[in-house]
Amino acid sequence: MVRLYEYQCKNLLKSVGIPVPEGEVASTPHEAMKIAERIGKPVVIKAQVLTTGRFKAGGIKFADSPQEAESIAWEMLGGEIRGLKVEKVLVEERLDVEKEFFLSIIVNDSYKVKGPTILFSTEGGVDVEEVAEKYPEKISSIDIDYLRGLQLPDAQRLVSKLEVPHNTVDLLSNIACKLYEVFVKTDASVVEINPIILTREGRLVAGDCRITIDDNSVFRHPEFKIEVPRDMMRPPMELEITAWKEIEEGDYRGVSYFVQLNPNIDEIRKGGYIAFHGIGGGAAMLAADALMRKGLKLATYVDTSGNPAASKVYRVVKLILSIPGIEGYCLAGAVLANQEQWYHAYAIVKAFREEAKKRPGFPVLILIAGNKERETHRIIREGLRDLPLRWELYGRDHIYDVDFIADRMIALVEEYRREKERIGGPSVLLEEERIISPKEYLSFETQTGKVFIDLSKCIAPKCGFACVKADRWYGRPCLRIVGGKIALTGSPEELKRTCNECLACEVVCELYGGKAITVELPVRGLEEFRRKYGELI
Amino acid sequence: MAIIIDEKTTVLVQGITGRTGEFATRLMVEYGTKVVAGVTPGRGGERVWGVPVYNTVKEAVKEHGPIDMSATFVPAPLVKSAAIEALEAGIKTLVMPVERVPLHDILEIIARAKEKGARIIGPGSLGIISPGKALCGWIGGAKELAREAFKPGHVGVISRSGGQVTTVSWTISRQGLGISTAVHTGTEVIVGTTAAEYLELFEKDPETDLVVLFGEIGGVMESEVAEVIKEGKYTKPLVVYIAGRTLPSGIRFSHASAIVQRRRDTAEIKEKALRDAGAYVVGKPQELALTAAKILRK
Repeated sequence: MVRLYEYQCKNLLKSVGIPVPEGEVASTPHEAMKIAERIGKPVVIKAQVLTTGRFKAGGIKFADSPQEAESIAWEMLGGEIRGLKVEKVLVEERLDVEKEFFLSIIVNDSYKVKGPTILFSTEGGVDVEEVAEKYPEKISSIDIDYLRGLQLPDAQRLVSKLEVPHNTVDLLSNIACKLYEVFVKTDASVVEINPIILTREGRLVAGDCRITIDDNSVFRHPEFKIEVPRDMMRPPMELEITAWKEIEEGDYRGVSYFVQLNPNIDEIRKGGYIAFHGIGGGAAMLAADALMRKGLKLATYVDTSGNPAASKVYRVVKLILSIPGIEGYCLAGAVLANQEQWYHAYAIVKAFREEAKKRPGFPVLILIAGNKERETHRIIREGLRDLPLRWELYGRDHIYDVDFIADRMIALVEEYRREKERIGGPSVLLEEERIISPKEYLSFETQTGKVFIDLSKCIAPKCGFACVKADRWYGRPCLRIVGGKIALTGSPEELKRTCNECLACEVVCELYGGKAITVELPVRGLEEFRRKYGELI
Repeated sequence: MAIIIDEKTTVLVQGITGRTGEFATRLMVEYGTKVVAGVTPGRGGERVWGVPVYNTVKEAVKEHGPIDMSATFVPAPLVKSAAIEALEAGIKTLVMPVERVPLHDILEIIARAKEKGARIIGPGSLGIISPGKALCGWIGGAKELAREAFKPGHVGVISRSGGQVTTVSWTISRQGLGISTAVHTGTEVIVGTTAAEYLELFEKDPETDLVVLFGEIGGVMESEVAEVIKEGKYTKPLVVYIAGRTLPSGIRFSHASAIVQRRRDTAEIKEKALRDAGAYVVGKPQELALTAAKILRK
């Protein structure tokens, strides 16, 4: 869920005609002064950070003059409120408060409702959960039929249930209807005005506002300029942005979720961290919990599920392995997964066949079970066998044995650390092999990458046409045999649709001793990121 | 018996030519589900795993008569229009396996389904299986795993986690028990059918003797289960595990939602409500099957 800043919320309220205090957002002290000058009366300066309790934390201050506004803004801007950096302040007229109300629209997941519910309270300005506990009689609510929307008579009923000054019923009902407009228009999961201020001179004004946009609807709202639609209390980090933009956003084949549990790359780089990669929400929670309880420090919390394409999982693993200084990788699939696990297998094998030589002895612990488990384990065993890794593989017998998995991970990491101390330094600087255009080749574009086949390196029929067979078995037929040679099954357009990026052709070719096939799956920005940290390109 | 789906249920697959639609169709056909038709606009006339493809749901219904159930395997932003098309064509149960469906699309789909008297399973649901009879969605993943993990029997399974519906069912099968019907409620903040409603159906199903629920922190689903039991709408034994107890409320599981709900969101409060209502609450997922076996063998 993505929260909008107060000033964005207020602009939205204004756009549907809900009165907000006179004011504007400022990025510099000078701007703040100018705005205060324009308002021409005492103002309030509000730090624009996504946290509650700003007043107590010093994020809301009052100024009697433009000069005072400037100096308060100077203090706030660039500083921190509850650990969040202040980049903007909202400068608003100060209001004389007579009474405060509260309005909120939420998505009610009760089986009796399964739709929006609007809440109204005469006890605004305080934590409404507290009101709900202490004075439930001071909250009224109405469930809204989504197809009908919130009609004025409904809103009047909502407001009239409680004791409010007679002349405010219509105004409040109107605000409620307009707030519902905002709820629908912004694809919100929550909209809330708290407080709605009734001023001494009888105006009703939105004092503060909170809007949370549904993660899955962010693509419909470029106007909010949300980089990564994830629920986090801090701005997204470089790799998180890459994970969303380059891997997840446009690819609906399964779900990948990438979060840095420690956002500080420099700290991770000093050592002591492993990368965590789970399969499925429930399982990932079970496993991450066990690893942390046993004292492992996790650099990442990653989850790939919903039967993602191998190419998607591969990119995620490459991203994980780009984090400098991690001392192990744990794929913890504490689940008998329904998804075809061989895609995870090929993704891991391709990623580590590229990465292993740069980090000899690196600990890799894999727990993977479920659909196509036997094939999955075979692919991983064969694919990792000749690599200089310290790897272990477990299946369904250890699904709920997360403590055992944690113990094995710890053992592998300790060995690795001791070895590093002995021989010094983990990383071997190696440039990736570049493909030099050969004379005889086949290639076609896939949904997110490119398949390149260097026929001069093709060893068929010695391999028994392993790639053609694998292609049929794991993917959809893109390759065939014509006159004892590898050929494509269709036009570039057809192949783009046919290929499901299972990565099997590349891996089997290499395992049979050829090195003819490469599935190029670039992740924009990743190479720059690695270069920046000066290792493991 | 079983609930919602059995060997007589006819199924339509929307998005049948897509990667996941094709994969799920194969699973359903091989498992024995009566998949009568598929839909992909512009691909009418083709066949996928023997199933005829049509351009629209209406065409499919015209050709095959009323269809009981649809599985919507279309990209998330298109799920709403697919669902409305199915509802308009008179289909009464929609299984929605796709994740990342926009929230307000879900709200509209649920409201429209209510209007039509239809049931929505999901979104983000792996689907539903009545072992030995039929499945809809991609629960089980492949026929071998579906047959191995879900043995026919008398335990109902409801899970908020997709992977765990299969894992828990497998552990139940390993105890020598079987499943009447197993269902994954879905991944989204709001889903078409909640645990409380599935329980009411299991109550009426003579084949179900006991239900196992894999719950999670967040939302009101488990608290409402406790209410349904207290109201006497579900009287059979219920064994529950709630995941996420020790994790800090955070990144993934915090719905920024309701004040009235938040108080009931934590594992502790849910567990207490369920215990007070008479449910068996276990502390580890592997104890679900063991406890179910103990109760049924008494």
